[in-house]
Amino acid sequence: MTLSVDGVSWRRGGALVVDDVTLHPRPGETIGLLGPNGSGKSSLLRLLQAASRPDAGTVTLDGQPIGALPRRAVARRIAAVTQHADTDTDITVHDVVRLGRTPHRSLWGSATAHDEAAVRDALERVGLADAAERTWRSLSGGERQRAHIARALAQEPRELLLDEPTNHLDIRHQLDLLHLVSMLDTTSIIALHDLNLAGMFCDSIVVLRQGRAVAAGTPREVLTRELIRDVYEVDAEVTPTEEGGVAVAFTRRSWERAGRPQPTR
Amino acid sequence: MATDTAAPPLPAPAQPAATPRTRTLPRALAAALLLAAGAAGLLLSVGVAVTLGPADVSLVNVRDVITNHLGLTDIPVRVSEDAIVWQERLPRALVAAACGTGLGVSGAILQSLLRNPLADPFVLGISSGASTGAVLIGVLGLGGTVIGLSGGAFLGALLSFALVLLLARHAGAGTGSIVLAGVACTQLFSALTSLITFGFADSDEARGVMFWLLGSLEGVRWDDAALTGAVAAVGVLVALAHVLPLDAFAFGDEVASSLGIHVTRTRITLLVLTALVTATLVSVAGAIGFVGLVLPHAARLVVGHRHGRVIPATAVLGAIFMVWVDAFSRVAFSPSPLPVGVGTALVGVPVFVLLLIRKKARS
Repeated sequence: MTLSVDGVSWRRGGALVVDDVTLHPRPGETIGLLGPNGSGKSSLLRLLQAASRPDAGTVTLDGQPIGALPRRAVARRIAAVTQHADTDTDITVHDVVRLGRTPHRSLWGSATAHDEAAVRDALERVGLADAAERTWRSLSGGERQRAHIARALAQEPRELLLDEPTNHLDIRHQLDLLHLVSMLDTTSIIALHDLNLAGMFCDSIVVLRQGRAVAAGTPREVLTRELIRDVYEVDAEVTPTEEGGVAVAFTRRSWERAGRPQPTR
Repeated sequence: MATDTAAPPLPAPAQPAATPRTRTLPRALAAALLLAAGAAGLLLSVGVAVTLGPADVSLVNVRDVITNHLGLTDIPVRVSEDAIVWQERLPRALVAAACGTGLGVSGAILQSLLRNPLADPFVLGISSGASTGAVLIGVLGLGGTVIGLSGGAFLGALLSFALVLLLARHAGAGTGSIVLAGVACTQLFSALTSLITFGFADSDEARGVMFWLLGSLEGVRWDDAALTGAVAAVGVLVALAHVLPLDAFAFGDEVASSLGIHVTRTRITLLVLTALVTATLVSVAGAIGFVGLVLPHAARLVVGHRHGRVIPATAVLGAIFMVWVDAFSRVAFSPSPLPVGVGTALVGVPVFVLLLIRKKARS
């Protein structure tokens, strides 16, 4: 049992940002959430971690409506890495990752040996063990992103929600990160822009457009030339890979074929 | 799985940290020692501060007076010394310590809650609201002797705080709108205070109000010490019960919420707490500036950013700092007293400038 989404709609500032979405992840699965900017990926992730309540439909965790569960209980199960989470304080990497232990710690108790072990393990998994004592301000964008991922891992979640986690990462770290996530036992739902990464690492893919889920299935089923043209309004070369996924290639010609205006000089 | 054939290489195997972090116990011990040293420093500071002043009293006499009054000893002490120590200087030093603790901890809370390193206990309009309340009573004579200057200040502070929350709620209740609402209310009530002072007060009244506004511990008594001490203690305890949420706010509301924090409930609880603590302290001792702004930063320089350490360190450092500043402002221009708020600013501003320079040098 894990997260489950049934007929969920959410209106935000007058606009319907999530429109009748249903999603039944299998436990342990890695799901890619695709769609153009503003298609509702981040909004759907907000609903999944009970940060907001949907106007219609239900989100359940192990069959229980997630809105009725205590926040701490939700946080012990579901970890989330949102975009643009930044701070002005000179907090160390170790202390950032340690925040992930917050839902597991008691009011007055100090950190246990298990807390410290979880922090250490999370730091090692994202390759930041040697940077534990560095301060937030001294980190590069990619290191900050990895610190957030480690914070989420230290939470020891069974469900992991990631909003464009590969932002700011170089290609090597993008591959490392998605490989790490796809190997976890957690049910992971990842909002992604990169169709190739989605095709490489996701067990299944859901495509959103204007809040609606317009396609769902394995990467090979979903990532077709027709769908990409339909949803993203670009023409792409889609080739199946030996690994069982797909590779998506864009060229300037494919972009022009899709009826784009010529770049002005 | 899309990756089960020809899986890409594992992430570069992370080197285990060269020195495993088994420092937990020594660190806890160091923290406890630091706290014990702080408490001892505070006791000593109060003791020494009480000896300072026009009438010379030795540290031994101070100890005797205190143990006599606690019923532990019965050592003969001159009546005048007993009165000076027990009736004047000791309660005053204790009120100073309570103000340092309460304002410092309130500042530390607000800096985390509003995610603004320049936040202080007066950012919510409390000091200006208090001053308007005080001048309404002191100059216009509203409420007469029933409420008194302190009561007026307390009511004014709470009114201003309520207005800030109301404004912030209509502006979206984010941290930015709380700060903006606080600025707006501070300006409004400052203007009202000036209007009343210039329009209706004679020069003696105006001087009295000004003196009080800058922070004054003249004539505080034991009941003031009990009140401020209790309020500061409540503030510290509630803050200690919220150290995890205070840490979790570092990355904003969304992250705090995903870590299991009730963002709105926590924010309201802590805002009301700091408002009540600050309003009470202001009503007794006036608007003592800079303690709430600078002391949390000083504490962070010593103990780092975890609130489990920042709160106790700020509480102790704030108390010690205020005891000394108060002693300084009693003695420096004796016999005419200096408002303690002037003393905190004279010491606080250079410290603050140093902090800013240091911060720039590090980044």
